[in-house]
Amino acid sequence: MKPYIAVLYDSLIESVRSRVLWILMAGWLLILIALFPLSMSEEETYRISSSDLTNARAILDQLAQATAGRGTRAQRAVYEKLDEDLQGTLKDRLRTQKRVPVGQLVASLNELLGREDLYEKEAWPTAERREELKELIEDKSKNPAELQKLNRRLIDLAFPGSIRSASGQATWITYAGMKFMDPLPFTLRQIRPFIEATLFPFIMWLGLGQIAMMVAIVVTAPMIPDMFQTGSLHLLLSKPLSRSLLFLSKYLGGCIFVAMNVGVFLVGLYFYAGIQLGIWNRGILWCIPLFIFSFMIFYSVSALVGLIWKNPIICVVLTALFWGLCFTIGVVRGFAEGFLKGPPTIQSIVAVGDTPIAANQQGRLLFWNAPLNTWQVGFGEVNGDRVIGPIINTQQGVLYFGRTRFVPFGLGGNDSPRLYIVKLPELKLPEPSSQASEAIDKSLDIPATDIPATDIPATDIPATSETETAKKKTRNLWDDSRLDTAPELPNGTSEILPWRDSFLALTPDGLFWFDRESALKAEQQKISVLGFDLKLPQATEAHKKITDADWDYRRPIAANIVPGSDSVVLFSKGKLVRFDFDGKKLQKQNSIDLDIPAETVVNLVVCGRIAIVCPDTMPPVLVDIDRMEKVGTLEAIGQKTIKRTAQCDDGRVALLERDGRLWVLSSNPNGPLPLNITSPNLVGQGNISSMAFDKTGRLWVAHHVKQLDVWDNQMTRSEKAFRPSRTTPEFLYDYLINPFYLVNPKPSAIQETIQYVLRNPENKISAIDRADLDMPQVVSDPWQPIWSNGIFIAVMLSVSCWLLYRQDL
Amino acid sequence: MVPTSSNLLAIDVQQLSKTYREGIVFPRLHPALKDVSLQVRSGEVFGLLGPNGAGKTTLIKVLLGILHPTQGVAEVLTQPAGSKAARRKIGYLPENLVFPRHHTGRSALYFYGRLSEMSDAQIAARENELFDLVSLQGRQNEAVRRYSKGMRQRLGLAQAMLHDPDLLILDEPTDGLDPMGRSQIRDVLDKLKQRGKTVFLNSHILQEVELICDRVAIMALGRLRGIGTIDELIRSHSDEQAGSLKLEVFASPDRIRALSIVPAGGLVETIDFGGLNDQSLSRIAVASIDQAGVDRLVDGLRNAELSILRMERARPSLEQVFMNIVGAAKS
Repeated sequence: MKPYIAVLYDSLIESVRSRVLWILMAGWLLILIALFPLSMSEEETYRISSSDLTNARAILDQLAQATAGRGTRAQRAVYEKLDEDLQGTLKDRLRTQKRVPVGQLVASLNELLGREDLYEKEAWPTAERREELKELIEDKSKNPAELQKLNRRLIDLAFPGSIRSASGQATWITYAGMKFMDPLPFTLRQIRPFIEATLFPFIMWLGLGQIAMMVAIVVTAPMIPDMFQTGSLHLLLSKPLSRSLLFLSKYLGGCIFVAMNVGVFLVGLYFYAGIQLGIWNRGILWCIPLFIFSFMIFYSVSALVGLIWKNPIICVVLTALFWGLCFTIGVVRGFAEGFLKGPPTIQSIVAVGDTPIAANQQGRLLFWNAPLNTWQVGFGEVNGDRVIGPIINTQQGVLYFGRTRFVPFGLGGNDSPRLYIVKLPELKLPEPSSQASEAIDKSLDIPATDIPATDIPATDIPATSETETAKKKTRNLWDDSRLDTAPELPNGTSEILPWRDSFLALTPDGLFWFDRESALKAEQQKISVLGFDLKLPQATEAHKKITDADWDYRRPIAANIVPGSDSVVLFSKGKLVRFDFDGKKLQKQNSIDLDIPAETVVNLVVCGRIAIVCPDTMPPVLVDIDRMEKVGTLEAIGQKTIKRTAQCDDGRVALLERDGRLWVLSSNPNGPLPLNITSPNLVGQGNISSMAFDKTGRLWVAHHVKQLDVWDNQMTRSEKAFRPSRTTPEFLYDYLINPFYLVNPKPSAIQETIQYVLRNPENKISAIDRADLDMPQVVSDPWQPIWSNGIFIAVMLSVSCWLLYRQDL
Repeated sequence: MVPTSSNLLAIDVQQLSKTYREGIVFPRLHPALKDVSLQVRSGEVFGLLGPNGAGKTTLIKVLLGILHPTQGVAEVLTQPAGSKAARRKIGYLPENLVFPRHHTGRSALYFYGRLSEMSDAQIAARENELFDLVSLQGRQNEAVRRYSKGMRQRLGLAQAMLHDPDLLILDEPTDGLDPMGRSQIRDVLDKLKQRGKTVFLNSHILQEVELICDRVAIMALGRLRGIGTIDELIRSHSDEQAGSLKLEVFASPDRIRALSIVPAGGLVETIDFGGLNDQSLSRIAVASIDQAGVDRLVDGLRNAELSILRMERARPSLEQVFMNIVGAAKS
């Protein structure tokens, strides 16, 4: 091997003596030097940032009302302590509706955080009932941090729903010790996975994957053609060397240049991340061979071109074209997948009889159109929003759903989702008896044929319908005319749960019961001018808060109804709490502290009397909600994240893993665990996106984006399958774009492997909001790009060696 | 005389042909070597001559394994031409040698030494001797990109000799060298010859080949047109009898012309001694005359009792042989 090592060593010397290498090295060092002072520091702070104000306008309105002695006592107390400038502005606002800069409001509120006289017992009568606040109020020797915490809690209480409750943990971005920008409302523990899984891969992708890669291709392009200079090549070939190994040595020699660049930058980044951010991630060092491998893909093309044309310019041009081709195919496929695979994926289903109604990740509500064999969009083709719900009230024949902005990591500005009420009297089922079990029995008796067909095409509508009923029957379910005006959902609503005659809205500020009567009343009072509503029904009028004033929970929060009762279980801040309804309010009964970090996103469902708490990347925990005792964990699921749950009236529960695997649980009082767990053999298992039980106990399973199967109670037979016809873009994706992508080399897929190695197994990327669980996951096999690209490199090099062997030089 | 035992042969080429294909869609065939057979004995300095496009470089490339022959066989030092075993024993100096720009003279020598499977210790043991031999001592640490063409050529010769090969294939080794450099190369080749090394030399400079080579082959239009010692070539490819003749006679041109013994085409003139014409001294110059003609002329002069002061009989040169062979091939 000596001669070939000599070729490699010669390439190393050639690289070291290249000016371009040193220029690039200097560039990397400058970047690292510039980056080094950038750091993060975590502090306990209760300062208010503008992003904490979920409804600044409401706060200003309430403070303006306080100038006239209206509003709550707490709001008036806050107003009285504000600086005079803002007080004057607020008075003007009451008269003139003058705009007040949010920055001024935030600054004034932050000034209040340091005031010792903010708390007044009369203004915040419930404060002393909260353990946390009671201690702070009674502590006469509060330090400034404790005073800030108390005042922040008081301000939060004064403007419920308009200020996001402070967790107390914030992270500052600092440069050379100087803080800049508002603190991020996350802990370092929450930010680190983001840095490791998103920021580092992005920096590497841009710096090394794009810029350095292009420079490297240009710099190394002449290496192989130079070898073919007559006076140089013939001398090499006269030595006792194999042509193929000589070529491969030269090829690997070209990679040394890239290795040195990548090595310097990534070793520097490793130490920067460790020293300044406390992230000692060995994955950064693993990225060195990955980037070299990534370069080898392009260089194998450059080398082959160099071998054929022996011209460095042609090498650069054709390699750039190859890059462009891969990039274009990747982008086209990515776009196609983005449009055809992600957003259209069904994320929730409700079923009435044989009628499925679904919501997808695009925020669209879908109805099955049987004649066209497709999903029909109803009530607004909205992109980028997330649907909350839907839930159906079969007694009233009403479908409720909310729509909110889909913002990753929950960094949203306005947290008030819009509520939609859809009148679907055709789907109305007979009134249930007072006993829930009877209602179930009755609904089981309803033959599917009793459910009106939902697929009547619009053209079938008779021109001269005689009765209103006839009109209703001929309308499609997705007609916009079926929409009832509705107020916004309460601020921060993350979920709606079917409860009694309407639903409960879950917010960090409490549970709100939707009172449809109030909403209708407000609707009647509104004045419309030229189609614009001058008075919209307010959320405060329609949504009644039915939890106590001492509610003290914050995001991430999860709740669910205990089947067959009016009880609610809730999980927040690491605690599971049960609330029972006393006719007016949901009263807190008992709670259990589970060993789950407070910032963990959780899914919660109740199977019989067992609550299943499913924390992100932790095994689900089983809690007996009567005794409030932990009774086990679901080790069968392990650390897989549960992204969705479904409850059946017969007591079964379905859990859906983030990677699309579905589990069904049922009560098993005599077993070692109180629940039986199975993973039924369903069509689409592993690609399931959503599921729901219908009133008859059938399981509706959405899988492979838009397909839907209805399984019998035993989950052994598919009773019905909904297979929407392919649209033209889907056809093109399935038969053109995807096959072409599969056979084409995928250098950019290495990025997925890089993301994988950067993920610290001890510091798993956790969701910050439940919506994050619907975000696409990292590829299931992160090493697949290595294999597929490795095969491509091997093919290119084999062709090169074969050509070189055959060539007369 | 062709040796019968192949183990005495450094190069043995039998009926070698090479045809290039040019173009992919409509390939044109371009024969570069046609049925070439030659043998080079161990220990001899062998010169390969031929005009541009004669096939010399193609033949060398086949011997080195750079080109695959279309037909025929070639062996180098009893190994198939191009095999690793054969290449281990060959030192090669290509025409227009280019060294990678990042090398110094010394690092280049080490690089090529390592490619020839030498250890650094072996290279170190040889480097001073070789830098001395090619007169690069003291310049070996300079970057090769600053070397003159002659220095690069001498460095190329050093690397070719570095691993003490049994056969040296030198393609235009004196190209670009000044007379001193050429003389040094000739000395080196002499030393190699004395040490029993075989040298296969491709050169355009015929005088050099005449001075150095034991045997010579002349190629033209892809075929071997002649092979042998220079004497053999001259004998076989020129009319040795019909050389030129110059005579200086103590008589006036008129008197000589009056004898009518000078063959047709012969020139008779007075010898000019720095502007002083002495009518009593004449020069007879005949471009081509055979021995019988020379005898007749001398007899005629002597019968007329004229004194012959000087007589020069020139035999055909290698250049003439070369021109004859190439001319004949082209015609």
